[in-house]
Amino acid sequence: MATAMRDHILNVASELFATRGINATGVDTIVSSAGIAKMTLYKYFKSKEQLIVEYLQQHDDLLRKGLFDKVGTEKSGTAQLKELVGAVMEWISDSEFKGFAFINASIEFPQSENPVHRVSLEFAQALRSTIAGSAKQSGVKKPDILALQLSLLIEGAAMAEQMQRGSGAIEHAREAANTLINAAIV
Amino acid sequence: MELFESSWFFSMVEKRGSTPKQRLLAVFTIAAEWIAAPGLREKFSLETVNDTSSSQQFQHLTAFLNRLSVSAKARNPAMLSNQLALLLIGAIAEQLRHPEMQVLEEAADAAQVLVSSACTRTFNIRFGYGTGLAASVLAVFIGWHLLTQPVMPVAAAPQVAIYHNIMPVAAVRQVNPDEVEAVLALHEQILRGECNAPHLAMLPPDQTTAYMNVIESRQPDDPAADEASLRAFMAWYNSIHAIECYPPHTNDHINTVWVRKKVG
Repeated sequence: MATAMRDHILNVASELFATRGINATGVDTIVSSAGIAKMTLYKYFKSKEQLIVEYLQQHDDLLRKGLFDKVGTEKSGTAQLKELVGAVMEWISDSEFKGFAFINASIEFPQSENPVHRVSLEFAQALRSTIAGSAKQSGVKKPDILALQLSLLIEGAAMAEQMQRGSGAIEHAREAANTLINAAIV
Repeated sequence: MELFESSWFFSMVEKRGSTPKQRLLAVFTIAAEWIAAPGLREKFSLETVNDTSSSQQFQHLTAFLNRLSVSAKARNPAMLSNQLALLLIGAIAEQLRHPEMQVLEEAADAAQVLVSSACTRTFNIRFGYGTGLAASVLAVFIGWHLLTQPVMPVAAAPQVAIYHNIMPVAAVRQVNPDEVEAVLALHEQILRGECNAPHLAMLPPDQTTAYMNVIESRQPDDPAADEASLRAFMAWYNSIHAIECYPPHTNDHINTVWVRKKVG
Protein backbone atom coordinates (compact mmCIF):
# COMPACT_ATOMS: atom_id res chain seq x y z
CA MET A 1 0.00 0.00 0.00
CA ALA A 2 2.83 2.33 0.96
CA THR A 3 4.59 1.54 -2.30
CA ALA A 4 1.39 2.06 -4.26
CA MET A 5 0.93 5.53 -2.75
CA ARG A 6 4.55 6.43 -3.44
CA ASP A 7 4.20 5.28 -7.07
CA HIS A 8 0.96 7.21 -7.40
CA ILE A 9 2.58 10.46 -6.22
CA LEU A 10 5.59 9.92 -8.46
CA ASN A 11 3.43 9.18 -11.50
CA VAL A 12 1.27 12.26 -10.98
CA ALA A 13 4.32 14.45 -10.46
CA SER A 14 6.07 12.97 -13.50
CA GLU A 15 3.13 13.73 -15.75
CA LEU A 16 2.99 17.31 -14.46
CA PHE A 17 6.76 17.83 -14.79
CA ALA A 18 6.72 16.51 -18.34
CA THR A 19 3.73 18.51 -19.53
CA ARG A 20 4.00 21.78 -17.56
CA GLY A 21 7.67 21.92 -16.75
CA ILE A 22 9.40 21.26 -13.46
CA ASN A 23 9.67 24.81 -12.18
CA ALA A 24 6.11 25.59 -13.17
CA THR A 25 4.82 22.65 -11.14
CA GLY A 26 4.55 23.53 -7.48
CA VAL A 27 4.10 21.10 -4.61
CA ASP A 28 0.55 22.37 -4.14
CA THR A 29 -0.30 21.40 -7.72
CA ILE A 30 1.12 17.92 -7.24
CA VAL A 31 -0.77 17.46 -3.99
CA SER A 32 -3.99 18.70 -5.48
CA SER A 33 -3.65 16.58 -8.65
CA ALA A 34 -2.78 13.49 -6.65
CA GLY A 35 -5.70 14.08 -4.28
CA ILE A 36 -3.54 13.78 -1.19
CA ALA A 37 -2.51 15.92 1.77
CA LYS A 38 0.80 17.75 1.65
CA MET A 39 1.93 15.77 4.67
CA THR A 40 1.43 12.55 2.71
CA LEU A 41 3.73 13.80 -0.04
CA TYR A 42 6.45 14.70 2.45
CA LYS A 43 6.03 11.34 4.14
CA TYR A 44 7.29 9.64 0.99
CA PHE A 45 9.51 12.35 -0.49
CA LYS A 46 11.70 14.55 1.67
CA SER A 47 11.57 17.41 -0.82
CA LYS A 48 10.48 18.40 -4.29
CA GLU A 49 14.10 17.97 -5.29
CA GLN A 50 13.98 14.28 -4.35
CA LEU A 51 10.79 13.94 -6.34
CA ILE A 52 12.50 15.49 -9.37
CA VAL A 53 15.53 13.23 -9.10
CA GLU A 54 13.31 10.14 -8.85
CA TYR A 55 11.30 11.38 -11.82
CA LEU A 56 14.54 11.61 -13.81
CA GLN A 57 15.57 8.15 -12.63
CA GLN A 58 12.20 6.72 -13.65
CA HIS A 59 12.49 8.32 -17.09
CA ASP A 60 15.99 6.93 -17.50
CA ASP A 61 14.87 3.44 -16.46
CA LEU A 62 12.02 3.52 -18.97
CA LEU A 63 14.31 4.77 -21.73
CA ARG A 64 16.90 2.10 -21.06
CA LYS A 65 14.31 -0.64 -20.84
CA GLY A 66 12.74 0.58 -24.07
CA LEU A 67 16.11 0.55 -25.81
CA PHE A 68 17.50 -2.70 -24.52
CA ASP A 69 14.26 -4.58 -25.13
CA LYS A 70 14.45 -3.63 -28.79
CA VAL A 71 18.14 -3.89 -29.48
CA GLY A 72 19.49 -7.39 -29.97
CA THR A 73 22.87 -8.01 -28.40
CA GLU A 74 23.83 -10.66 -30.89
CA LYS A 75 24.07 -8.24 -33.81
CA SER A 76 27.51 -7.78 -35.28
CA GLY A 77 29.34 -4.86 -36.87
CA THR A 78 27.42 -1.63 -37.02
CA ALA A 79 24.02 -3.35 -37.01
CA GLN A 80 23.65 -3.12 -33.25
CA LEU A 81 24.68 0.53 -33.16
CA LYS A 82 22.23 1.41 -35.94
CA GLU A 83 19.52 -0.52 -34.15
CA LEU A 84 20.27 1.32 -30.90
CA VAL A 85 20.05 4.73 -32.56
CA GLY A 86 16.94 3.59 -34.41
CA ALA A 87 15.35 2.58 -31.10
CA VAL A 88 16.07 6.04 -29.64
CA MET A 89 14.49 7.63 -32.72
CA GLU A 90 11.47 5.38 -32.31
CA TRP A 91 11.21 6.47 -28.68
CA ILE A 92 11.22 10.10 -29.82
CA SER A 93 8.57 9.51 -32.45
CA ASP A 94 6.12 8.07 -29.91
CA SER A 95 3.08 10.30 -29.60
CA GLU A 96 3.55 10.25 -25.80
CA PHE A 97 7.10 11.59 -26.05
CA LYS A 98 7.46 14.90 -24.24
CA GLY A 99 11.16 15.44 -24.57
CA PHE A 100 14.08 13.85 -22.77
CA ALA A 101 13.44 14.54 -19.10
CA PHE A 102 17.12 14.98 -18.31
CA ILE A 103 17.58 17.55 -21.08
CA ASN A 104 14.50 19.50 -20.06
CA ALA A 105 15.62 19.41 -16.41
CA SER A 106 19.13 20.64 -17.21
CA ILE A 107 17.57 23.55 -19.09
CA GLU A 108 15.30 24.41 -16.20
CA PHE A 109 18.14 24.13 -13.73
CA PRO A 110 21.10 25.66 -15.56
CA GLN A 111 23.23 26.26 -12.44
CA SER A 112 26.00 23.69 -12.60
CA GLU A 113 26.07 23.22 -8.83
CA ASN A 114 22.36 22.40 -8.64
CA PRO A 115 21.82 18.70 -7.79
CA VAL A 116 19.06 18.39 -10.40
CA HIS A 117 21.39 19.80 -13.04
CA ARG A 118 24.14 17.40 -12.03
CA VAL A 119 21.86 14.37 -12.07
CA SER A 120 20.47 15.45 -15.46
CA LEU A 121 23.95 15.60 -16.92
CA GLU A 122 24.76 12.17 -15.52
CA PHE A 123 21.75 10.66 -17.28
CA ALA A 124 22.59 12.47 -20.53
CA GLN A 125 26.13 11.20 -20.24
CA ALA A 126 24.90 7.66 -19.53
CA LEU A 127 22.94 7.57 -22.78
CA ARG A 128 25.93 8.89 -24.70
CA SER A 129 28.20 6.31 -23.05
CA THR A 130 25.81 3.55 -24.09
CA ILE A 131 26.04 4.77 -27.70
CA ALA A 132 29.83 5.11 -27.44
CA GLY A 133 30.11 1.57 -26.05
CA SER A 134 28.12 0.19 -28.95
CA ALA A 135 30.19 2.26 -31.40
CA LYS A 136 33.39 0.89 -29.92
CA GLN A 137 32.07 -2.64 -30.23
CA SER A 138 31.26 -1.91 -33.87
CA GLY A 139 34.88 -1.08 -34.61
CA VAL A 140 34.46 2.68 -34.91
CA LYS A 141 37.81 4.43 -34.66
CA LYS A 142 36.64 7.39 -32.58
CA PRO A 143 33.58 6.09 -30.72
CA ASP A 144 33.30 9.04 -28.32
CA ILE A 145 33.21 11.57 -31.13
CA LEU A 146 30.66 9.57 -33.10
CA ALA A 147 28.56 9.15 -29.95
CA LEU A 148 28.60 12.91 -29.41
CA GLN A 149 27.62 13.58 -33.02
CA LEU A 150 24.80 11.04 -32.83
CA SER A 151 23.63 12.56 -29.54
CA LEU A 152 23.43 15.99 -31.17
CA LEU A 153 21.38 14.54 -33.97
CA ILE A 154 19.10 12.78 -31.48
CA GLU A 155 18.61 15.95 -29.47
CA GLY A 156 17.90 17.97 -32.60
CA ALA A 157 15.39 15.36 -33.76
CA ALA A 158 13.71 15.38 -30.34
CA MET A 159 13.39 19.18 -30.46
CA ALA A 160 12.09 19.17 -34.04
CA GLU A 161 9.59 16.43 -33.26
CA GLN A 162 8.25 18.45 -30.37
CA MET A 163 7.96 21.52 -32.59
CA GLN A 164 6.05 19.63 -35.23
CA ARG A 165 4.89 16.03 -34.98
CA GLY A 166 5.39 13.85 -38.03
CA SER A 167 7.56 16.37 -39.86
CA GLY A 168 9.84 13.64 -41.20
CA ALA A 169 12.61 14.74 -38.85
CA ILE A 170 12.92 11.27 -37.32
CA GLU A 171 13.39 9.50 -40.63
CA HIS A 172 15.90 12.09 -41.83
CA ALA A 173 17.78 11.90 -38.55
CA ARG A 174 17.89 8.11 -38.76
CA GLU A 175 19.30 8.35 -42.30
CA ALA A 176 21.87 10.89 -41.14
CA ALA A 177 22.88 8.65 -38.24
CA ASN A 178 23.43 5.72 -40.61
CA THR A 179 25.55 7.91 -42.88
CA LEU A 180 27.70 9.06 -39.96
CA ILE A 181 28.08 5.50 -38.67
CA ASN A 182 29.09 4.17 -42.07
CA ALA A 183 31.60 6.98 -42.53
CA ALA A 184 33.07 6.41 -39.07
CA ILE A 185 34.12 2.84 -39.75
CA VAL A 186 35.92 3.57 -43.02
CA MET B 1 15.69 30.63 -31.61
CA GLU B 2 16.38 34.28 -32.26
CA LEU B 3 19.55 33.56 -34.20
CA PHE B 4 17.49 32.47 -37.17
CA GLU B 5 15.21 35.48 -37.05
CA SER B 6 18.08 37.69 -38.03
CA SER B 7 19.13 38.35 -41.61
CA TRP B 8 22.60 38.98 -40.17
CA PHE B 9 23.13 35.27 -39.66
CA PHE B 10 22.15 34.32 -43.18
CA SER B 11 24.14 37.13 -44.81
CA MET B 12 27.23 36.14 -42.79
CA VAL B 13 26.87 32.57 -44.01
CA GLU B 14 26.52 33.76 -47.60
CA LYS B 15 29.69 35.82 -47.29
CA ARG B 16 31.70 33.13 -45.52
CA GLY B 17 31.56 30.48 -48.23
CA SER B 18 32.28 30.86 -51.90
CA THR B 19 30.41 27.68 -52.89
CA PRO B 20 27.06 26.30 -51.73
CA LYS B 21 28.81 23.40 -49.99
CA GLN B 22 31.08 25.78 -48.09
CA ARG B 23 28.06 27.84 -47.07
CA LEU B 24 26.27 24.76 -45.78
CA LEU B 25 29.23 24.14 -43.46
CA ALA B 26 29.70 27.84 -42.65
CA VAL B 27 26.33 27.72 -40.90
CA PHE B 28 28.01 25.85 -38.07
CA THR B 29 31.01 28.18 -37.89
CA ILE B 30 28.88 31.29 -37.78
CA ALA B 31 26.62 29.77 -35.11
CA ALA B 32 29.70 28.90 -33.01
CA GLU B 33 31.07 32.44 -33.34
CA TRP B 34 27.72 33.90 -32.47
CA ILE B 35 27.39 31.85 -29.30
CA ALA B 36 30.95 32.65 -28.28
CA ALA B 37 30.44 36.42 -28.61
CA PRO B 38 30.81 38.22 -25.23
CA GLY B 39 27.57 38.59 -23.36
CA LEU B 40 25.47 36.72 -25.86
CA ARG B 41 25.38 33.46 -23.97
CA GLU B 42 23.94 35.19 -20.94
CA LYS B 43 21.32 36.94 -23.02
CA PHE B 44 20.39 33.82 -24.85
CA SER B 45 17.83 31.85 -22.96
CA LEU B 46 18.29 28.11 -23.15
CA GLU B 47 14.59 27.72 -22.83
CA THR B 48 14.06 29.51 -26.11
CA VAL B 49 15.96 26.71 -27.82
CA ASN B 50 13.32 24.27 -26.68
CA ASP B 51 10.44 26.66 -26.97
CA THR B 52 7.81 25.47 -29.37
CA SER B 53 7.55 29.05 -30.66
CA SER B 54 10.94 28.38 -32.23
CA SER B 55 9.16 26.34 -34.87
CA GLN B 56 8.99 29.26 -37.29
CA GLN B 57 12.69 30.05 -36.90
CA PHE B 58 13.47 26.39 -37.46
CA GLN B 59 11.52 26.57 -40.69
CA HIS B 60 13.46 29.69 -41.74
CA LEU B 61 16.68 27.83 -41.11
CA THR B 62 15.55 24.73 -42.99
CA ALA B 63 14.34 26.80 -45.96
CA PHE B 64 17.69 28.60 -46.12
CA LEU B 65 19.60 25.31 -45.94
CA ASN B 66 17.32 23.84 -48.56
CA ARG B 67 18.20 26.61 -51.02
CA LEU B 68 21.88 25.97 -50.41
CA SER B 69 21.38 22.20 -50.75
CA VAL B 70 19.67 22.67 -54.10
CA SER B 71 22.55 24.89 -55.26
CA ALA B 72 25.02 22.28 -54.00
CA LYS B 73 23.19 19.73 -56.18
CA ALA B 74 22.38 17.45 -53.29
CA ARG B 75 20.55 14.31 -54.39
CA ASN B 76 17.79 14.96 -51.87
CA PRO B 77 17.96 18.65 -50.84
CA ALA B 78 14.97 18.41 -48.51
CA MET B 79 16.54 15.59 -46.56
CA LEU B 80 20.00 17.16 -46.38
CA SER B 81 18.66 20.52 -45.25
CA ASN B 82 16.54 18.88 -42.57
CA GLN B 83 19.45 16.75 -41.36
CA LEU B 84 21.75 19.77 -41.09
CA ALA B 85 19.09 21.78 -39.30
CA LEU B 86 18.55 18.97 -36.75
CA LEU B 87 22.27 18.68 -36.18
CA LEU B 88 22.62 22.43 -35.75
CA ILE B 89 19.81 22.96 -33.24
CA GLY B 90 20.93 19.91 -31.27
CA ALA B 91 24.49 21.25 -31.23
CA ILE B 92 23.44 24.75 -30.20
CA ALA B 93 21.43 23.37 -27.28
CA GLU B 94 24.34 21.20 -26.18
CA GLN B 95 26.87 24.01 -26.65
CA LEU B 96 24.82 26.30 -24.45
CA ARG B 97 24.68 23.68 -21.72
CA HIS B 98 28.39 22.91 -22.03
CA PRO B 99 30.27 26.09 -22.92
CA GLU B 100 33.54 24.34 -22.18
CA MET B 101 33.03 21.82 -25.00
CA GLN B 102 33.59 22.46 -28.70
CA VAL B 103 30.33 20.81 -29.64
CA LEU B 104 29.67 22.90 -32.75
CA GLU B 105 33.04 21.90 -34.18
CA GLU B 106 32.12 18.24 -33.86
CA ALA B 107 28.76 19.03 -35.41
CA ALA B 108 30.53 20.76 -38.31
CA ASP B 109 32.61 17.63 -38.89
CA ALA B 110 29.45 15.54 -38.93
CA ALA B 111 27.85 18.06 -41.31
CA GLN B 112 30.79 17.68 -43.67
CA VAL B 113 30.20 13.93 -43.82
CA LEU B 114 26.50 14.46 -44.51
CA VAL B 115 27.13 17.08 -47.20
CA SER B 116 29.80 14.97 -48.90
CA SER B 117 27.55 11.94 -48.88
CA ALA B 118 24.51 13.84 -50.15
CA CYS B 119 26.38 15.65 -52.90
CA THR B 120 28.48 12.76 -54.18
CA ARG B 121 27.74 12.23 -57.79
CA THR B 122 27.35 9.18 -59.87
CA PHE B 123 30.87 7.84 -60.44
CA ASN B 124 32.04 5.13 -58.11
CA ILE B 125 35.36 6.16 -56.60
CA ARG B 126 36.06 2.53 -55.78
CA PHE B 127 35.58 1.76 -59.42
CA GLY B 128 39.11 0.99 -60.51
CA TYR B 129 40.65 1.73 -63.84
CA GLY B 130 40.56 -1.92 -64.82
CA THR B 131 36.90 -2.21 -64.03
CA GLY B 132 36.12 0.93 -65.99
CA LEU B 133 38.09 -0.37 -68.94
CA ALA B 134 36.36 -3.72 -68.82
CA ALA B 135 33.01 -2.04 -68.60
CA SER B 136 33.94 0.08 -71.59
CA VAL B 137 34.73 -3.06 -73.54
CA LEU B 138 31.36 -4.44 -72.50
CA ALA B 139 29.69 -1.21 -73.57
CA VAL B 140 31.39 -1.38 -76.98
CA PHE B 141 30.20 -4.95 -77.40
CA ILE B 142 26.70 -4.02 -76.44
CA GLY B 143 26.79 -1.21 -78.96
CA TRP B 144 28.17 -3.52 -81.63
CA HIS B 145 25.47 -6.08 -81.03
CA LEU B 146 22.83 -3.40 -81.14
CA LEU B 147 24.06 -2.31 -84.53
CA THR B 148 24.37 -5.76 -86.03
CA GLN B 149 21.48 -7.73 -84.61
CA PRO B 150 17.73 -7.22 -84.41
CA VAL B 151 16.87 -5.89 -81.02
CA MET B 152 13.68 -5.97 -79.03
CA PRO B 153 12.67 -2.52 -77.81
CA VAL B 154 14.12 -2.08 -74.34
CA ALA B 155 14.39 0.67 -71.79
CA ALA B 156 17.27 3.12 -72.05
CA ALA B 157 18.67 2.26 -68.62
CA PRO B 158 18.43 -1.49 -68.29
CA GLN B 159 18.08 -2.96 -64.87
CA VAL B 160 16.96 -6.35 -63.73
CA ALA B 161 13.54 -5.13 -62.70
CA ILE B 162 13.06 -3.64 -66.13
CA TYR B 163 14.27 -6.81 -67.76
CA HIS B 164 11.72 -8.76 -65.87
CA ASN B 165 9.05 -6.38 -67.02
CA ILE B 166 9.95 -6.35 -70.65
CA MET B 167 11.24 -9.86 -70.86
CA PRO B 168 9.77 -12.22 -68.34
CA VAL B 169 11.93 -15.24 -67.86
CA ALA B 170 9.24 -17.25 -69.58
CA ALA B 171 10.08 -15.42 -72.82
CA VAL B 172 13.21 -17.52 -73.08
CA ARG B 173 11.45 -20.46 -71.56
CA GLN B 174 13.57 -22.99 -73.33
CA VAL B 175 16.62 -21.78 -71.41
CA ASN B 176 16.79 -22.77 -67.78
CA PRO B 177 15.45 -19.73 -65.85
CA ASP B 178 18.13 -20.21 -63.20
CA GLU B 179 20.87 -19.58 -65.78
CA VAL B 180 19.08 -16.46 -67.03
CA GLU B 181 18.56 -15.18 -63.50
CA ALA B 182 22.21 -15.70 -62.67
CA VAL B 183 23.38 -13.72 -65.70
CA LEU B 184 20.89 -10.93 -65.10
CA ALA B 185 21.92 -10.69 -61.45
CA LEU B 186 25.56 -10.50 -62.47
CA HIS B 187 24.80 -7.89 -65.10
CA GLU B 188 23.00 -5.78 -62.53
CA GLN B 189 26.03 -6.00 -60.23
CA ILE B 190 28.25 -4.88 -63.11
CA LEU B 191 25.97 -1.94 -63.82
CA ARG B 192 26.13 -0.94 -60.15
CA GLY B 193 29.91 -1.16 -60.24
CA GLU B 194 30.09 -4.01 -57.77
CA CYS B 195 31.65 -6.54 -60.15
CA ASN B 196 34.06 -6.34 -63.04
CA ALA B 197 32.54 -6.62 -66.47
CA PRO B 198 33.75 -9.65 -68.44
CA HIS B 199 36.03 -9.07 -71.41
CA LEU B 200 33.63 -10.38 -73.98
CA ALA B 201 36.25 -10.31 -76.69
CA MET B 202 38.16 -12.95 -74.79
CA LEU B 203 35.20 -15.27 -74.36
CA PRO B 204 34.28 -18.12 -76.69
CA PRO B 205 31.88 -16.65 -79.28
CA ASP B 206 29.00 -18.91 -78.24
CA GLN B 207 29.25 -17.60 -74.66
CA THR B 208 29.35 -14.01 -75.85
CA THR B 209 26.26 -14.54 -77.96
CA ALA B 210 24.41 -16.33 -75.15
CA TYR B 211 25.36 -13.58 -72.69
CA MET B 212 24.23 -10.87 -75.07
CA ASN B 213 21.02 -12.72 -75.83
CA VAL B 214 20.13 -12.58 -72.15
CA ILE B 215 21.03 -8.99 -71.41
CA GLU B 216 19.55 -7.78 -74.69
CA SER B 217 16.36 -9.79 -74.19
CA ARG B 218 16.74 -11.72 -77.42
CA GLN B 219 15.18 -15.06 -78.16
CA PRO B 220 18.05 -17.51 -78.68
CA ASP B 221 18.32 -19.46 -81.92
CA ASP B 222 19.42 -22.54 -80.05
CA PRO B 223 18.19 -22.40 -76.42
CA ALA B 224 19.91 -25.61 -75.41
CA ALA B 225 23.27 -24.37 -76.70
CA ASP B 226 22.73 -20.98 -75.03
CA GLU B 227 21.92 -22.67 -71.77
CA ALA B 228 25.14 -24.66 -71.87
CA SER B 229 27.09 -21.55 -72.84
CA LEU B 230 25.57 -19.52 -70.02
CA ARG B 231 26.40 -22.25 -67.55
CA ALA B 232 29.99 -22.36 -68.80
CA PHE B 233 30.22 -18.57 -68.74
CA MET B 234 28.99 -18.33 -65.16
CA ALA B 235 31.30 -21.11 -64.03
CA TRP B 236 34.23 -19.31 -65.63
CA TYR B 237 33.20 -15.94 -64.19
CA ASN B 238 32.66 -17.33 -60.71
CA SER B 239 36.05 -19.01 -60.70
CA ILE B 240 38.00 -16.03 -62.06
CA HIS B 241 36.21 -12.75 -61.38
CA ALA B 242 33.63 -13.25 -58.65
CA ILE B 243 36.27 -12.86 -55.98
CA GLU B 244 36.84 -9.30 -57.18
CA CYS B 245 33.23 -8.26 -56.62
CA TYR B 246 32.68 -5.55 -54.05
CA PRO B 247 29.86 -5.91 -51.57
CA PRO B 248 26.85 -3.71 -52.29
CA HIS B 249 27.19 -0.14 -51.04
CA THR B 250 25.47 0.39 -47.76
CA ASN B 251 26.31 4.01 -47.01
CA ASP B 252 24.56 5.57 -49.99
CA HIS B 253 27.75 7.41 -50.85
CA ILE B 254 27.88 6.34 -54.41
CA ASN B 255 25.60 5.39 -57.19
CA THR B 256 27.06 4.24 -60.45
CA VAL B 257 24.70 3.83 -63.30
CA TRP B 258 25.81 2.87 -66.77
CA VAL B 259 23.36 4.29 -69.18
CA ARG B 260 23.18 2.84 -72.63
CA LYS B 261 22.55 5.48 -75.27
CA LYS B 262 19.99 4.75 -77.88
CA VAL B 263 21.51 3.84 -81.20
CA GLY B 264 20.10 5.40 -84.30
